[in-house]
Amino acid sequence: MAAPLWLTTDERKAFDALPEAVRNGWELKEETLSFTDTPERRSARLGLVRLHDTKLLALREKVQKAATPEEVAALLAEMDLHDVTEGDLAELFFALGPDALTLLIAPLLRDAKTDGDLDDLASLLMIRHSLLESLRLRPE
Amino acid sequence: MGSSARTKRDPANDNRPEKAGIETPEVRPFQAQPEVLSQYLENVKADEVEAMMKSVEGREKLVDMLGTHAEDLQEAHGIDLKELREQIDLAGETLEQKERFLQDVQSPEKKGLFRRAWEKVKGFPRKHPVVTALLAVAAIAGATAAGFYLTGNWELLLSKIAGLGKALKAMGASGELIPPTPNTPPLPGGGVFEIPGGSPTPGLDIPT
Repeated sequence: MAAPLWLTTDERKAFDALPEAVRNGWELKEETLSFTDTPERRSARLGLVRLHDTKLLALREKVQKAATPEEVAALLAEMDLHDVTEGDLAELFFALGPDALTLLIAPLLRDAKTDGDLDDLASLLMIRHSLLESLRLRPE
Repeated sequence: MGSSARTKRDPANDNRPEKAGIETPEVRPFQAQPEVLSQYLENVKADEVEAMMKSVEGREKLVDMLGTHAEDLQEAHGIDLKELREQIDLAGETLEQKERFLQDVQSPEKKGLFRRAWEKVKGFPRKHPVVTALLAVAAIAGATAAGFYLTGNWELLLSKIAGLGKALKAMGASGELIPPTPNTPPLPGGGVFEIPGGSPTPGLDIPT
């Protein structure tokens, strides 16, 4: 079962502009939550990332030993998420925050051509929605 | 709001030791991470500090305990107790938020959907390389030295990854992706990030 598409008002407009064949069959939900990120909050999230995956830890170690930015870029480009644990993926998405996902979602939605494209998008939208729920201020 | 991402620098440090051949005092950026705070507190381990940070009472107690190190913190990091309190509050709230997120993705009603989502994400590298690169940058952000960013290498790195620099610029986030790290004296052969091997770094699970 695919997740629903949690779309903001602007994203809903982009979705409505997709061909009908692509739009058909998707459950739509309105994303009403928002979060104002700040450099301090982003920095705090990044500083509290806790990774356990050996592949990610190895990547960190290699990056620290890299001699040039080109080497680092090559290491990042080779990044394979296949065996990364779900827990560590969740840590990384939390560190990035919902703003990053919103930026990534916009072009993916605009260029969606197949059900598979929207299926990928649904995953990111669900992760963003969960992030927004977690990050919102709790009532005093 | 505390300035957790700030990189307060003594202008004198522009003549860095490796360049000038002399040691100069440096005001090091500070980030209230459990591992960092634990270093100031005798017999309080990082996981105990983390637990304290998750409650208002615990945070107040931490600030009280760290009050005896106010002069050290001011001298080493240029941070006063008010700023320390703000940073601890922010870090504590962030820990609470992360806990909520991790609980949500593992909740029985959502676990199946998220498992499917994670599997999708794992298949992103070829299909959505920018998403993957951004996750990889988040993975290394805490392990890189501020010097890498300050010397302009960070911009160069982002420009080497197609689409990533543009995405980060739109977020206004390229700076925060290199959070302040504990000061590490540059050593010969330390690599592009000037981090010597073999010494533990607070906040990391690996020896550096």
